[in-house]
Amino acid sequence: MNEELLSQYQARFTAGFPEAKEAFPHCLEDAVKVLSPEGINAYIDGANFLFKIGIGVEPGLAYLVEMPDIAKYVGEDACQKISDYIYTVVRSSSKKAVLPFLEALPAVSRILANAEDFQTYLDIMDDYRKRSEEVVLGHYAAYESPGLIPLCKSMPQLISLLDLEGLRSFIDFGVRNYQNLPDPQIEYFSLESPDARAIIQRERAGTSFKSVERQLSMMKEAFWSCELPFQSFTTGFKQLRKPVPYVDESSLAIPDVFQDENDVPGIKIYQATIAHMMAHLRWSGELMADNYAPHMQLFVSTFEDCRVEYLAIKKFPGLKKLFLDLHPVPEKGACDPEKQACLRYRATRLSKAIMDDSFDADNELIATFKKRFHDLMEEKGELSTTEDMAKLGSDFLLNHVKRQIAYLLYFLIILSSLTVTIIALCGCITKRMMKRKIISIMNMKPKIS
Amino acid sequence: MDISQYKIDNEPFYDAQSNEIELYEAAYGARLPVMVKGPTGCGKSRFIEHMAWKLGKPIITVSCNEDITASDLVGRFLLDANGTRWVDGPLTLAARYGAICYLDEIVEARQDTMVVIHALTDHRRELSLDKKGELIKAHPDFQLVISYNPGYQTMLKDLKQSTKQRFCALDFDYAEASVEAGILEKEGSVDRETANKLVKIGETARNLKGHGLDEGISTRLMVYAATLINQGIDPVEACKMAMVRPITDDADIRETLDTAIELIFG
Repeated sequence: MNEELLSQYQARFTAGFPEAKEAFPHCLEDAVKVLSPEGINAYIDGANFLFKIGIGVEPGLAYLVEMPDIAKYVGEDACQKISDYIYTVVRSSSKKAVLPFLEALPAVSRILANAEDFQTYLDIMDDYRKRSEEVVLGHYAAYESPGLIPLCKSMPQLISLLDLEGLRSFIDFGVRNYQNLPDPQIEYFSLESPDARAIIQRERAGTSFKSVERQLSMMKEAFWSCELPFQSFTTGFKQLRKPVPYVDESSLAIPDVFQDENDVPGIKIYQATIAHMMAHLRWSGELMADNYAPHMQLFVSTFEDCRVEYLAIKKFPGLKKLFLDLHPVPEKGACDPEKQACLRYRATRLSKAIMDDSFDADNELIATFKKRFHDLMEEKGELSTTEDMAKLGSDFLLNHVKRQIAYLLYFLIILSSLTVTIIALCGCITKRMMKRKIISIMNMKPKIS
Repeated sequence: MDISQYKIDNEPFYDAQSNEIELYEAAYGARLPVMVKGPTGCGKSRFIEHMAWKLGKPIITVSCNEDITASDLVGRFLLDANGTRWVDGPLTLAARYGAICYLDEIVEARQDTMVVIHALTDHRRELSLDKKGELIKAHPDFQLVISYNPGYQTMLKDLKQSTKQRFCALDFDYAEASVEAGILEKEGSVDRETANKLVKIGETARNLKGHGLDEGISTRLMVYAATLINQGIDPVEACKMAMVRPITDDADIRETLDTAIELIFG
């Protein structure tokens, strides 16, 4: 951005807070990347407005920082829409909710990702505010909406679990049932009450296990002749450790909901998950995990996953597309080895290369192990074992480490040669300088004398 | 009466699953009545036709249903221009002229039909035509064969022990995968790979028997699917049409079988 344009925008930016003045040029740099000149003007006007309405510096700063990202997802009209909405909130008794509202917007806009839905979201929030502020002891809007702040704070979680209709129903339930009960309303919108959990479960976006349970049970029995019962676990609430699907001797544990992913519907994700679990149940042996270092376990698991999926695809060729559609594809260079270990990145590209014939990992080590894997599977097929994969996984990691050490040694050798050269050069220079000095001294001597 | 019209000229294709051909030949040699049991579409009728062809004997087949009475099997007096005339039923024809009488799905017929076959299926080998006042001694080549699907039996529709214990029985089931694939190759004119896939779909559906399906997909339906594929229909569509839509209206089962087809045909 040129100086003239910056000064032009700075002239338009009228906020008096020192923090705002300091942050503005940095935020503007981000804004010009995603907003048109008209959009920038609306962005600055919106910020000016927020800094002027007497709610402190923080909402304005949040707006300045987050708005470019929000506009990227839901369009630059969002600047005006958000300003207008905040204006109505500030004029109500719930103006303390402005900051939490703004803080929730990046997550909301990223998930909604279109202007129309974003407007619907604002309408839902406005509707809730009006309804929850309504008559308390005969004073219209005399008391702030008790649940608006907790609702805004819970919004990133809610919007990731519910679609807009689900969100509307969730809010509607809270308003109808806790209209005149502020504390339960706060508890509900903080997602702490059993009711909140129940309604979220009911309104979850995506494909719920309950709705496809019979189909999945039949699939499990028909495709895999497995009579183990399902046991669903919830994924809707914050937990210290996110549960993942697993299979043991007594049941198959799978999530209560799967949302569509990469254009793959939830039911298909269930099918892929069950196929993967069944493949492990049928073809995986047992290994003592303690015998392998954690990094080694990762690669052993990667090869074992590839093996069971390879065999499952042999049995049901249609699974290949499904597995590949759900397989992440990290771009080459997406992980910087100087800053991160990149082991997961490498494992993901390795399994992608093994499973997808058209994928070129552009890595000699991966290509070598892809060939080793396919040769082994061609030779042994269903007779291949988990131990075979343990060997491949260990070898892969060892080769990877060896290469890194080799690179490091190579780098050290280059570095040391350079150092020697530099020292030698310095030595030469010093010698010459000394020589020159001696000559000059010698030359001086007669003069002195 | 020219009984040779009931002879089968061309060999019906039949791929033996086990030693059933030898067993049947032995039973026929002793003229023992035979009961063939097994699920629908597994090849019971084809087997009997094949054996009739192999033995060079005429075969009279009666597809039993709930309207079949003893008179329909034995015969009846009919009115024509010259007055009343006795017309032999299929069972009488077979007994009189020496054919194999094959009563298909016998449990579907009314109970009174069972009684008339009793005397033909023990040492007496005779059939009494009460209305005509005639006692027929069965022809030496006569044999009675019935088929029976145990999956359909209920309290109301089942063979009595007194009937069951007049027959020796051959158990049939869907052929093992390689045999079934061979059948599809031959009957449906599809390549081995497609035949194997069709068999795999059949096996998948058979696992659902008792979990929503009364019967698995029969070999007959697989042959239909193979035939449609051979006609140029997309395999997935052919399988849905021939192997899924006829057997169930349950949306979940259809969805499961459709998925199986898509996963197997890739």
